[in-house]
Amino acid sequence: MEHYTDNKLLELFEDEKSRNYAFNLIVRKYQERLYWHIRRMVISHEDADDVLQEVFIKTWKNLSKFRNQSKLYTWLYRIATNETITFLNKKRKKFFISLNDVEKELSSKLESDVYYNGDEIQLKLQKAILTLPEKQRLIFNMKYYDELKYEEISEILKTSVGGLKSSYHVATKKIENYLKSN
Amino acid sequence: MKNKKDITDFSENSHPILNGIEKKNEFSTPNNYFEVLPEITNSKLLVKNKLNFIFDILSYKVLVPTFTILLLTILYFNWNNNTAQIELTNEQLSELIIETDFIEFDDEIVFETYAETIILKEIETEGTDEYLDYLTENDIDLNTIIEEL
Repeated sequence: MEHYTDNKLLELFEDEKSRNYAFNLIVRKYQERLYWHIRRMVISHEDADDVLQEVFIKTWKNLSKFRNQSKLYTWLYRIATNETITFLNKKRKKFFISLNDVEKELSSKLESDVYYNGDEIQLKLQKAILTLPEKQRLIFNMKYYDELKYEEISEILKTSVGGLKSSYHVATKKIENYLKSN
Repeated sequence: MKNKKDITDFSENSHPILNGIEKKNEFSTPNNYFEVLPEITNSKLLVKNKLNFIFDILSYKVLVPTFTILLLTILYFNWNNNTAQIELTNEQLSELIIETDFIEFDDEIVFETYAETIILKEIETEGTDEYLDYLTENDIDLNTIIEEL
């Protein structure tokens, strides 16, 4: 059932009769990848769940406009990334907190999260990642955890491959330094 | 090209601490989360679509005619109120004439309304006019009479 290619899924989606079925398959195919991408950025499961559902609603609304200029999953990643950034910005505005304080808040949330099972070194690594600026954090997560190619990240974030390599290098250096000093 | 490859290799191999940490997903989700998520998403979409559908129906088939009828009713009553005939007392009419600049009254209506008052005033001032005519005809100065008195 889930062995359809993206093109076949899009073809099914175009047809009014099989639209719901195709969308259901798309959700099933990409939900996990998108969830973990969002979850690493917003940390809490509840927030990730809210953002992910918003991503799928946006996908449903805009999928008919998707013109195969990019791969379906990079397009979905892009929506997920935008929604995550919007969510974090809203959170900052809502609670009148600065960039650094959001990261501190996420860090403390991580320690009390019942759906986080990392050991001490994993927790330290997550805290190190949370010290990075938002875009560096995105790049690091996509490269390190999601193992996306620079070209794919470049398509998602609309940033040059050179810029991404440099950002990833800086991010890993910062993480190394954090791990050394803590 | 070879140089670029070297730089990438260098950056990927120059993180000994990071490379020493096992790469794993330490986050978890509630039980069966991914099994039920498509259904939750579908039902959410269904509700959104229904709401949109209801709104569309409301806006085009109900809201537009309702607002049009409401607007026409308001306009009708407003017009009727403005043109309704109200019987005013003489005093109210006087006040209106004095205070309202933009209301135009027909001269005949004003005369009819004030006819009684004007006639009464004419009767009152009739005697005084006769005395004044007599003094004027006989070339008698009113001030001289007042001084003599």
